[in-house]
Amino acid sequence: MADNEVDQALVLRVQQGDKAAFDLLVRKYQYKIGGLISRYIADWSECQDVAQETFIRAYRALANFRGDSQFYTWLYKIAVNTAKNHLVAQKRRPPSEDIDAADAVQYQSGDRLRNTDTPEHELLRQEIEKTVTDTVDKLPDELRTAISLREVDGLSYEEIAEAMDCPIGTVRSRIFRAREAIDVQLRPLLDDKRERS
Amino acid sequence: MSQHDKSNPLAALSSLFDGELAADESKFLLRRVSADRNLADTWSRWSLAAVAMRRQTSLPMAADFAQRVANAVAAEPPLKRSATAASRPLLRWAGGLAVAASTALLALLVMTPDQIGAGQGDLAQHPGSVAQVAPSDLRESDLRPQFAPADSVAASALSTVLQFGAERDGLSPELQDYMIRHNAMLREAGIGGFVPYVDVIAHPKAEAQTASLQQDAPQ
Repeated sequence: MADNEVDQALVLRVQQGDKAAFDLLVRKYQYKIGGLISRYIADWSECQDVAQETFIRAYRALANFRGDSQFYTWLYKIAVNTAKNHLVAQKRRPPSEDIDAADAVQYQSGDRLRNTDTPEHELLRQEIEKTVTDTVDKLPDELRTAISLREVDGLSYEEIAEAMDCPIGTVRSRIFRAREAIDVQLRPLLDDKRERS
Repeated sequence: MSQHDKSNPLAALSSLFDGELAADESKFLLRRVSADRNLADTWSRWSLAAVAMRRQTSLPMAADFAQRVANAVAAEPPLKRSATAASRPLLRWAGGLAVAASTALLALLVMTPDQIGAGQGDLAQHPGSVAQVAPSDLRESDLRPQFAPADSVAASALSTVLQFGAERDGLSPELQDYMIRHNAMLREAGIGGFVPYVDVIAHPKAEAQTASLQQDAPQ
């Protein structure tokens, strides 16, 4: 099942009244939506509010989401509109050029907009990225390959099993073990942040 | 779900995260995630790790961000899927059917019987395009059920079986022959010699033929 199919299954559950499924969509996309909004709005706290407003609007509109586009593309449009409306309401001028949905998710340090007034959050973001990449680099070969093929290349378990010449059950186990290893390093970082805030 | 997954909900969550968990197991696990904060937080961290691995633009969010959204959503009325969105697949299907029916009707109206015949002629000119049938030693008679000889059966049945006019348009002698045998077999089986799905018409010439056959039939 592709990434979009996972979203589609969760969306269907939300449309059937399962709010827990929406919570998983929020948890999955909060960082990307936050990153997108931060390209319009500099202040971290304001970004949090606008991101929250984005998800609430998305929930209200989800009844009419027909799945003609990918869920993230649809969510992205809501986030951009919410950020622009926020700036207009604050009597601030939204940027004249829109950020393309595909470009919006791809990190390029030079493209980051006014994020200089929240250096601690930028520092944390960099720290998270470094922790994850360092941990992946130190993983045993078979775990690193499995998690990279899944997360970076977006291959299904079946495709990974074929590429690595092993059973699907082994792929499932390797990906899970890789996630556990990354999580062990990531959790203290986020717990520290929680304690500081 | 494997035994490993059953004993460890995090392993099942990993499969769900990748969309590699069966639908019924996903349903069960989603219910569990909604009641287990630890599982939900793990899902968040895995999402963050995925974004970091892909080097996508992200922003560290407040630790309670998802919880705040969940609280706000909990206060919202339940979703009511719009009638248009719900019926869209049905409308699409009905629309497709209407187009297909219109096209078929148009094709029937436009094509004359001559054109249809010409098409068959084209087919005959290109035998390579016709599906090939493997040769067989079997004859048509080998495939028939082994009953009493058709002639004698036909003769005994003729008194009750209505005769088909062999000369009638569209009724070939082969079909005529078959119908006689078929009716005779039905009669032997005690079902009666009538075929409900074929028009049975007594024909003057057929009546004469019947009388002739009755005379020739062995007693």
